[in-house]
Amino acid sequence: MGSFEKKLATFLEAFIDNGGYEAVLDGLKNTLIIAVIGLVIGIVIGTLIATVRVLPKYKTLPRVLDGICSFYVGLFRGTPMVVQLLLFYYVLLPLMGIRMSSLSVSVLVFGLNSGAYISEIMRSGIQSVDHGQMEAGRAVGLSFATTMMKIVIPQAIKNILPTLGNEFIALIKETSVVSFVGASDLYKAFNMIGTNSYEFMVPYLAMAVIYIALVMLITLGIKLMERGLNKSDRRN
Amino acid sequence: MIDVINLQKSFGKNEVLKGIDIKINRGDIVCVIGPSGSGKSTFLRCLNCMEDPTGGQIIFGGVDIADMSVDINIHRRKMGMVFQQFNLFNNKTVIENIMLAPVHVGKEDLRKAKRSNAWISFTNLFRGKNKKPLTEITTTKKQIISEARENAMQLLRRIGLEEKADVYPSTLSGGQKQRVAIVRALAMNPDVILFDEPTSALDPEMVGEVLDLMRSVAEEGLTMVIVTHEMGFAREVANRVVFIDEGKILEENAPAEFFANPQHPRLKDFLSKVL
Repeated sequence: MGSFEKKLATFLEAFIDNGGYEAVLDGLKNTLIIAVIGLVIGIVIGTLIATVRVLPKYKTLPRVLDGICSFYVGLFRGTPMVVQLLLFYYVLLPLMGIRMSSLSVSVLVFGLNSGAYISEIMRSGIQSVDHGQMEAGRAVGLSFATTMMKIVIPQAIKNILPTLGNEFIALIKETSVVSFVGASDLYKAFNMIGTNSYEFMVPYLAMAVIYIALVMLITLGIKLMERGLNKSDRRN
Repeated sequence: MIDVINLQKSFGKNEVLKGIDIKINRGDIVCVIGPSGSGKSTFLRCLNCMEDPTGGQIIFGGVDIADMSVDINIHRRKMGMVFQQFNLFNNKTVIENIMLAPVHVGKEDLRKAKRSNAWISFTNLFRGKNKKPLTEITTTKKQIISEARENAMQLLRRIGLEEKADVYPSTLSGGQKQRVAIVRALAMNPDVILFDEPTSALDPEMVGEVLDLMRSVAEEGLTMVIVTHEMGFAREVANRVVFIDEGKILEENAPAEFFANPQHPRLKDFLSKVL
């Protein structure tokens, strides 16, 4: 394994001496920014869409809203994330005359995209909550929106937390496509180290390790959160 | 107090209620009995528009609440409901279950009063002499919460569950859950409470404690409409018993007469099976 040691030495030189770690830290920061803010935007959009989709539908307005929402979900689930990213960055935003940095475009697209997925997750979560909870809330005179916010959605979130964690993990991993529009994430940082030192084996290995470490950390965090939320269950 | 006029309800083509007329007076304890599928639960759920009636009127407090343009939430505050499956809020502790609605309603009213006061003081700027008086605000958020908590604790003490105030409903027994559900309805100071088969999901030995609580609520003079299979309870507590079958009221009478001397052949048949 003499050659591997040499490769390791090359990588360490590029990583530490030539300032590669700065690029990696910057990339890590961007990856987390995109995934976390994207997830937050996604949860807000997803919850709104899911609420619209479980509204009782005998009036016109909910039906129109429902149509718009299912169009939105169809649109963002029907195209790959890369395509959406490229469309937003090179087509839509220039057409609308809006200038945004590639990082903010990435955050926006990740938010919109995960909103579509989370809306479906949230909808199944809301439907998993016993209908009697909504009825009990309405029976004491709370409005649909209030009951939803105070009673149903907190229970729904508890039920879907593992799936939501999956979505977050998927987002973290999918951030590797943002280099298509020039945003610098973890992948781009290691790619740069590799290009500069003509040596890709160790950088890509290190990248994989960082991704795995991130995902394991998130899994642990979700487990802790679940334990916190389960306090209203009989099993403690 | 509740005046039901020709109430109809159908689910698609399935006609469940075929024109129900009944007048429920203040202090009445009305028990509704009937075979399963007769529409008695649907009738009760129509009373507070849990199911929207497809025809007829329900006059409550002088307003036709079956009209879809009425803000039903305001009227439901005065109409408690107790469910067969208890339906306590699983994500709230026992005391939060009881406090939730009073606190929310109190805060909402406070917000409304503040908003209208802001508007009045704004328009007062343009009035010369006869300035409009502000609505008086006597409470604060803190007061609303502490009053609701005190009231909730009092209710819990009444049912002997004050030490359960801070546990979650999943740790309670069925009878305890249903008693908490009843005091949750009481916490809003309703004019009437609707009971939808309150003891049907309970173990036999827990039925008694729930019926005892209902009896003590009845003695306070609260109006109650109870869908039940407990004939003994109906005979003892109700002042009117109503028999519903196939979406219609077939017989209505004082309990003694109702059970001793049924008139309608369907009711005779029904009573011979259940008594």
